[in-house]
Amino acid sequence: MKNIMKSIWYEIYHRKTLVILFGAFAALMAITGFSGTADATYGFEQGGVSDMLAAHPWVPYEFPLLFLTIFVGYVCCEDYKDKVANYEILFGHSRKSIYFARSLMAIIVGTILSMLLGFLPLLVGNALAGWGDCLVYEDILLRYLLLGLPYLRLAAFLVMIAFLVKSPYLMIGIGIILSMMIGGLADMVRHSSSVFVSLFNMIALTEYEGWSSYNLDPTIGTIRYYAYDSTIPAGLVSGTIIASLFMTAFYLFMGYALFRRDELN
Amino acid sequence: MDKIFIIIEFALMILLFIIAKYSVKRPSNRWRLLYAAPVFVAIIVAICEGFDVYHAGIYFASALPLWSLFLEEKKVHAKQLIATCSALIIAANLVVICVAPNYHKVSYLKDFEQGFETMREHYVLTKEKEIDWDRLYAKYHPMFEAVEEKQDYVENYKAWQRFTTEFFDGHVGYEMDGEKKLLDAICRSYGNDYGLSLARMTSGEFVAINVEGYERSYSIEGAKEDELGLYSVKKKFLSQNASADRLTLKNAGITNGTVITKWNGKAIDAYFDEVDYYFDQYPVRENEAFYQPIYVAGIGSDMTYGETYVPGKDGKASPSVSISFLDENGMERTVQAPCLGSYAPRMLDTFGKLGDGLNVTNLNWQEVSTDTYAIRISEMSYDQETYGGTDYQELTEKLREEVLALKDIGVKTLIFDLRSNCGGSPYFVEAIAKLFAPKGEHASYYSAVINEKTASYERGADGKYQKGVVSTYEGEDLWHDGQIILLVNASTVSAGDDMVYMMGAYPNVQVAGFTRSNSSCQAVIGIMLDAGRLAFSAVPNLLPSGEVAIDTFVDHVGRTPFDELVPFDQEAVKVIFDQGEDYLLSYVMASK
Repeated sequence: MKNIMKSIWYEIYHRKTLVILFGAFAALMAITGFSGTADATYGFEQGGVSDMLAAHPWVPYEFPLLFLTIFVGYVCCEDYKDKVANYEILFGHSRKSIYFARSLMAIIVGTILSMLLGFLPLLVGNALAGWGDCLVYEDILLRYLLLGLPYLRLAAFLVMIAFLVKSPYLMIGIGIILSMMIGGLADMVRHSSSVFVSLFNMIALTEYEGWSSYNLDPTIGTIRYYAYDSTIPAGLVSGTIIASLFMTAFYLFMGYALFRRDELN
Repeated sequence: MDKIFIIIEFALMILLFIIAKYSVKRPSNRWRLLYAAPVFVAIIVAICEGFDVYHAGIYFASALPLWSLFLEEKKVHAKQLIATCSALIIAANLVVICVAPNYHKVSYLKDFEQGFETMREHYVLTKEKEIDWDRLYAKYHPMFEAVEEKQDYVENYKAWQRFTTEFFDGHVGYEMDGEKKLLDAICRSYGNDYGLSLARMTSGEFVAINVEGYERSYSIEGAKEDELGLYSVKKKFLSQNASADRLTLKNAGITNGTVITKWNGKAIDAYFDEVDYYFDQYPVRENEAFYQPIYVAGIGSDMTYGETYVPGKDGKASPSVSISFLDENGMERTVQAPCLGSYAPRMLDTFGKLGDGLNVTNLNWQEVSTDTYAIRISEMSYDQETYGGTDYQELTEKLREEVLALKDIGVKTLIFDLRSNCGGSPYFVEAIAKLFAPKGEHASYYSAVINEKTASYERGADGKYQKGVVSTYEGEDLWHDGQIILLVNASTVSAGDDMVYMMGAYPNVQVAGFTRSNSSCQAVIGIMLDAGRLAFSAVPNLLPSGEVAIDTFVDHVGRTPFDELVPFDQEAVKVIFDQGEDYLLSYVMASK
């Protein structure tokens, strides 16, 4: 299994498509950080990046979700095209090691890269506009680190899907749908807060309780003011950890159930 | 959605049962996808509809067929057993859903607590209206507890109406989610229809108005469509003998304007204390007094205010009411009026007849006479682009051009029809007012200083909000030699009140109506609750003295200008309810 993982890592590292893809997403996230901070109510100086993150809570996961899906699709489905998995079986590797090598690489590397992407707007915005005082820095750091857990779970879920659909192109389609659910269909999604669904868990980790009011200005018109409480409830922390570990194991197990009797064609 | 979800899952289990055997005959890798289909459907439903603990059995049953993926192709019976077990678990879950008292329970109490706490923290007129939050909590918490326990959306509507009435603020209101439920709740919250509404004339006498059976009156059999949509549900509330009974009052000699002396043997004003909530808010005491009798007309014999008989419900007999009135000879007579249906449709029709303005669209002029033109201003908004901002130059220019053209053709009087104006942007108001204001700079309001950290308005040591930026405008005095009349009613609210407040102070402007304007002008914030939306005054508008502008204090005295109380008399009743004409407009035309 270790050797298969090494070979997958070598392929990830040396496949230009993946490197360019990650670069493109990183650029996209950096631009999001730049434009989001510029668009924040008070401009660069006053609101800071915390204002942008509070106003656009989906920023750290909207595009990384798409990247994660494409990445998992690539790692898990690409080998169906060139029959690598079949050769591995011929060379005496067990199905278990073939499955877990691919899925663990997809999950771990995918999660780390997605988290890196998620942090980019924060870093770019912080460099441009400073932190601001909308949210507490330590709270957000903890929330963003915890975001890795639903990523982990989602990656495991996507691995299961990948072994079902066996097509990297279909995985791109699924990724687009997932991103749309966060962006376009956000209102539909947001009325549930169950930590057992990774999208809801991500939303719960990046949305902040608070109060919003406005004032009337004779020149500008309506000016909105927001006051957020970024403290993370203990229940959300424990819920995120328990649900993520449990669901990751469940999805991995189900993915293996699919893979172990698959004809690999 | 629940039913569709259960049917799909159940159908998939049947399919999997069949496939277990068929897939052996025609082996293919793709059959494996089907074993994952139930769990995908469950995940999609959980994402779209939200995770529901009452669907736990279905979630489990949908995941169970995945076990078949571990079984060898030929283990048909085991796969069929799994599909059967899953189907049975789904069926069992369906039974649980049907009998579980808390399934899809609406959190009415949580809504109240959330709404109450938000208002306690951010309502800006607590001091002016002497709101005792602890008293309100003690009074309404048990009420909402009962609503929660009974899961009664009608009682929820009534409880919120009662609660919001405590604030006597036109900007405090609750709107229930779900159009059907809302219409139903309205129809069940204002008593029954006995074929008439009641009104108090300026003389103090109570008269019948909008009496069933007269040409211009509301009719239980009419097909007239109201804005709210009550016409679509009113038939459901009609009493069994409504058609036969509908002319009882007319046959007894009651007409629009007949003096009503007693209602169920009691003086009509004896019921006023019982009327503890309204459809609208009446912050000004005299406005409230004008509308109170209209609400009394829904109270049946041996029934409390708001109690509504619905045919076929509770097994109760259809109620009636004994109405004492003065006949054409001045003799007191009594008639037993049977219930015709729900009172709400007639009540709202009465409000409309009393309060509707000119039947032209917003910002359109209508010639009233050769020297008088009226402009309808039903809301203070021009277009979507301008609404959130302050630039109403286009509106000002358009109106300036129109006003100068009217001046050129010899028009002497302009009537601004602000009746039932629901408000909008204060800058829209300034854009119009500046054309008619005396020359020079005028200040409308000061904003209050907001605490940017808490996004809240806080009072200083003197108990007042700290004044922020003043909004000013330059008067053009375009109508210096002419007369301007503002027509108002109790539903002229918010920016409507602003316009009355600002323009009412100009020397050539007269404000007239059966009632004052609403007197509520602090800016509003709405919060979403599970079962509805609560709105309340949350952004103060201040006078130069630092006092909040316009809104009534605990004395319930209106603070917008009001020059002429138009008498509500027999003539007004006849013109409005028999002839269907605009009495207020005719009155101000005759007296200008």
